[in-house]
Amino acid sequence: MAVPDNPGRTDAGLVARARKGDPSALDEIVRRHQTRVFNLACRMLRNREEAEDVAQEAFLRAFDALPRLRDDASFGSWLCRIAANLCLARLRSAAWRAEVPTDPSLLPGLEADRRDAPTPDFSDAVRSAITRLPPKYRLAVVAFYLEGRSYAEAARAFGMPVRTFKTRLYRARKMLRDTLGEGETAL
Amino acid sequence: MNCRRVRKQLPAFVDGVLAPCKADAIERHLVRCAACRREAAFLRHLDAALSAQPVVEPPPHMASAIVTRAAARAAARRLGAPRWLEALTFAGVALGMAAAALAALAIAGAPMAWRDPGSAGWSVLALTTAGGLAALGRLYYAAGP
Repeated sequence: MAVPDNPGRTDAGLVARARKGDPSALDEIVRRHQTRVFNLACRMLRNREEAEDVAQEAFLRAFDALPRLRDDASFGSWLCRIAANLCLARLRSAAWRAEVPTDPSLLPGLEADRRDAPTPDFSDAVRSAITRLPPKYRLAVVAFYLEGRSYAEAARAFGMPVRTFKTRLYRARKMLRDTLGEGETAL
Repeated sequence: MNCRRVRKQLPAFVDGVLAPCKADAIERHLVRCAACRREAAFLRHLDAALSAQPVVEPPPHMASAIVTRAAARAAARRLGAPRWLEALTFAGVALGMAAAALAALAIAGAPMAWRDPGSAGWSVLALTTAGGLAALGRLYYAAGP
């Protein structure tokens, strides 16, 4: 994400203004980060209404805790961690798993314009397999692809050591591999 | 490089983050090992399926809802009010208007119901009671745990 030149419009500047009660700073913070937070929640929860609920709650909790934020420039990743923890809590709730339906429109699309683009059957299988990953491994997969396929960016955004993140991603892929079987027929 | 070591490094190879010398060694292995080639193809397909997720736009009302709720919470904190009052601030105007309308209906319906038990007054009373309970439920939900 491009960082604005004006110091008052950087994350750190906006957070400082928001802490003093400037409502326009709150508004700009929300508009700047809402797509990332909403997409994180959509990919984790696979339900649009639940994702919106989590996104709103994440912002409100972050604003409530602004006085305790030590590094204003890290607001974005701090917010992501709050949203991720809210998602993990919901996914771990047995009641949530039993009641909330998956929204098919939020599962991985088939728009890959690549030579090795997956077949529809394979993509369907991946959609199904992701929903069966344990929450912390699902978060590793979601974080990696949300943060532009970068280990370091994803690890920083979600507040874990790079080594831990890589291990979780490796295990997540292995679980997907095991769930999807050999897969040659789908390829 | 044997298959076991290659399989361990294949995800990093597919992600393009492996050091060039290691990537070269894996490429040489893949030329002669069909099983590892299939594994690499699987990882590339998985990567493509996951990379293809479109960005979903947040609902248009979401940003303003967050800012409104944040402002209500901040106002309640400044007043030192408890959370239920903060929720009341957020939903207060709408609930207040609904409560006033229900009260007016109840006042109008009660004498009618008392005079004539078979009249529409009982229906009005039942509806106002149900409406009041629904409003209270909404208020409780807005206040949260």
